[in-house]
Amino acid sequence: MNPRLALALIVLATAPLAALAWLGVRLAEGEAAAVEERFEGVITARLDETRDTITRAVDGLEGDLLAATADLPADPTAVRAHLRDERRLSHLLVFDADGRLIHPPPEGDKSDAERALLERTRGIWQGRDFARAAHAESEGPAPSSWYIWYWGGGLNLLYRRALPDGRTVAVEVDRPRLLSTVISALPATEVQRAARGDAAPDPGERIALVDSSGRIVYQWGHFTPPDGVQPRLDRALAPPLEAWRLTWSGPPPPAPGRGGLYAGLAAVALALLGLALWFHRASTAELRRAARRVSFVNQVSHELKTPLTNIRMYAELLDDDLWDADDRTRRRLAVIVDESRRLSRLIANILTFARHQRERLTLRPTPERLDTIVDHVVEQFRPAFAHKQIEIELDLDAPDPARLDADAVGQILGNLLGNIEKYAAAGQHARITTRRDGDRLTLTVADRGPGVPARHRERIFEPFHRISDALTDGVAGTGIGLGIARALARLHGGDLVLAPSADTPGATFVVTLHAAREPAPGETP
Amino acid sequence: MNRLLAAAPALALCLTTACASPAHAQANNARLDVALAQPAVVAGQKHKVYLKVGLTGLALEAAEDRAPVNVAIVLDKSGSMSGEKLERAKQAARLAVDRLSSADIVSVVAYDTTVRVVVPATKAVDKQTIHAGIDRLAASGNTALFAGVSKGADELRKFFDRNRVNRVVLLSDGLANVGPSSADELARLGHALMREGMSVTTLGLGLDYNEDLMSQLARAADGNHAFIERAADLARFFELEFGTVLKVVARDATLTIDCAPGTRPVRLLGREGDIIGQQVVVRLNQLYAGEEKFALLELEVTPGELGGSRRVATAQASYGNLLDRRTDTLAGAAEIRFVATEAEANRVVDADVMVKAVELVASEQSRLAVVLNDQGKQQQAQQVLRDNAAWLDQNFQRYKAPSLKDLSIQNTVDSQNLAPENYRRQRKVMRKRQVEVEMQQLY
Repeated sequence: MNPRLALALIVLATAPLAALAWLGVRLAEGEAAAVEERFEGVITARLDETRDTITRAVDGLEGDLLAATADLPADPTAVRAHLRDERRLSHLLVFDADGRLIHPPPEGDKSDAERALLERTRGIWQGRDFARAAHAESEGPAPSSWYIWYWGGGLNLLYRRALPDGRTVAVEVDRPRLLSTVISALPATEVQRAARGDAAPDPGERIALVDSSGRIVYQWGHFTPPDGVQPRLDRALAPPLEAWRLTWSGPPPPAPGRGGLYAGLAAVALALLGLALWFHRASTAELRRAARRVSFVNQVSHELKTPLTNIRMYAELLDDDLWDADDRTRRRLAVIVDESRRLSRLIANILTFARHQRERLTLRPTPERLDTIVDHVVEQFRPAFAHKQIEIELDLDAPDPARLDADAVGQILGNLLGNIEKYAAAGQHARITTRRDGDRLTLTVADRGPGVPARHRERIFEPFHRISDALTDGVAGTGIGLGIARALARLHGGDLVLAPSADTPGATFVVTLHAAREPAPGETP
Repeated sequence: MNRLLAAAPALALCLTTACASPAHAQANNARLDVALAQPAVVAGQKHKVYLKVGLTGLALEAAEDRAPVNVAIVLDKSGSMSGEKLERAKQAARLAVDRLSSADIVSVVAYDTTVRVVVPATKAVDKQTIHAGIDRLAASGNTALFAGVSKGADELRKFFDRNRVNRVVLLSDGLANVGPSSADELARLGHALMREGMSVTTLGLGLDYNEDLMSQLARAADGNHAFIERAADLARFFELEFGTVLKVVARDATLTIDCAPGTRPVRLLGREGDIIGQQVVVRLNQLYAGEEKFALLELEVTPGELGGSRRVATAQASYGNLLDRRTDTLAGAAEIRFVATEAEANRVVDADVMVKAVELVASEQSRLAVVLNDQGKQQQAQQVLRDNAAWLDQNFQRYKAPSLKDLSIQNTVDSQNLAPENYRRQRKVMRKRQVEVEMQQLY
């Protein structure tokens, strides 16, 4: 196949495919980013929901403490009894209206637990700012507030409220109790009841509650994060637990199916390939039809070759025998000889072409004189040229023997002269020149016919290519002659080219042959 | 148990002083006993005496009369539990569930790295479903003990009722390593749960659990604590534990002891409580049928006149009666006589109270030995335990209480197993015994 055509077809098929693939991948990337964004949105919503759950649990605790401190007895000793009965309270600080600590009594009897409470909250009750701040708050919308202080390796909460009688009360919320309250509000890992093996286990997720020191205090969900992998998302809790975080770990979102993209690309690729093949077949149909024709003709030609050779041989013998016959008889006989020679050339062309197609074209070079071969061929064409009034001009200067295949060289020249007879008869002139330059033989055949249009200059050597125009229409021809001539010239290490058209009309074909000089048989160099 | 019951008549004998206030008072289902170990002391001297204030739940007339229970079984299903341990634990839990009746509520929580509520709180009616939930457990992961107990408590809250026995039964064989994991944090959790009206029993399995954490959690939440060395014994311990759960007759008992002038409360032995000035308050989460729980207080008594007597303390107990759902109040008082001679005083010593005091003092020594041996002072720890054993034996000779002989032998055994290769196991044995003595545990 013509490599340029093949290249064109490949480009035709691959360029749209590449463009489509690029677009598709870009689109898929955009899709993946969008999925990612949606996915993170869902997780964020879930973490927010969990955060709200914790906020509600802390609010519930606040409500409990608000109710539990509502009717705190005024008498300090009765406060202890209240604490014993009121299960929601454990450790409590009470300040008077001036902000002075009154419970546990700084002076006076205390239990060990009360002493420990005073010790760890010393920084809070020593000054009076704590109670003052509570009173300032009580003017505001919230009746109470959370006071955060760090002690014992973590965050501790004090619930603080100003009572209507001017006292301020602060309830210590034990950290384990706070944690337990939060954990109670949070979900547990779901029990997978349908784990029967046939259903793939849900990879799930893992949400963890992380305290202010980065320690996981509680977690749930089926997903087990690999070691050292950071959680994908992270969210701080609402005050007063803003130092705590919720983290989310889980498998990445299911990638948007690239399968569809690949299937689409494959379909487009198939369609383009089909289209290219169709173009290819359409473009070569003519060639294949011609090749089939040649194949058939080739077989027929083999059958024709022997009888034709006999006809030609006996016609030529008869021509010798009837040397003294009348002109009419000799003219008729000449037509028979001429036409049988033309037929022989045609058959020789077809057989050569067929061998060339099968790549079995070989030469049998023998020492020959190029001028002799030219003379011989020209002699054969003389009658036909004479009939068409084509003048033959010979300028031969290659008399030395060289290794040539005489049949092949004859065929080349025969085809060139045949073309002149067919297409350039109007020029009425054919000039044949031979030259030798070292091992290089040059045979030039020039006519004064219409010449070869520029766009056909190379294509005329392709098989079955015929210049379709007014000149060639109606002229019989196989379209293989020049191709064979060039193939034979190249087998001789040379070429057949159409010389660049000068100002002179007509076409000039130049045959170069590479052949070592060789003494002719019986001749001494 | 027999020991305690047998002590009761002796106690009545000891408190023969004719006085207006009753030495013991009885209400519907508990009895308050207030007794001094030394009802008489030599006059004219300052003395240290032991006062026992005990509440005894009265025996149930029929087993069906028992209070309904609300129990959460919290099982460790971390990787270390795999194999026989978990299978035995499942079997034990199933057997325990079988003992419950349709009025009871049960839940099963399993934890590893995370927590799963295997059987949400439900009436113990459809036991097949509960068994199926237990059977599905498979071991893997870490030990989120704090979260497991918290979720177990949360299951109790769903059907929380003060007139039920609300208990978490925790089984663990390993060190807590997810979430709060120190003994102190778990004890504070236990304390908070006790304040809420729940108790936590901790069953330690094998040699790898943290006995400090498990024993402190049980103490703080007034549950039981056990060291179960072999998984094969799990069923027996679940049986024992559920036996106690089904014997609870009263809840939220508060003992308030007011010391009279001339008497100063020094310290509480065994149990924790608040001593504020002259007043001592001790809480008991629950009372068991036929079993006594008590506070033992060391008092300092100022010198008294020969032949005279003096009230040293009055005691008040209040508790929630689980059978008739009322709050009962009991009161009692103790007096001391001042006599001429030591011998005279010794004749009237209340052997029962004295034995309890000796047991508790011996328990303090046992704790001291653990502290010393933990610090690498094996020699000193050994000496403490040997002295303890000898002292217990002396007291056995004097008071003839078999429990003192047992303790003496056990302290000797303890002293011989302080070397690192044996201590891991022995420490668990000691912790278990300390809790048993201090909290009057039933098993």
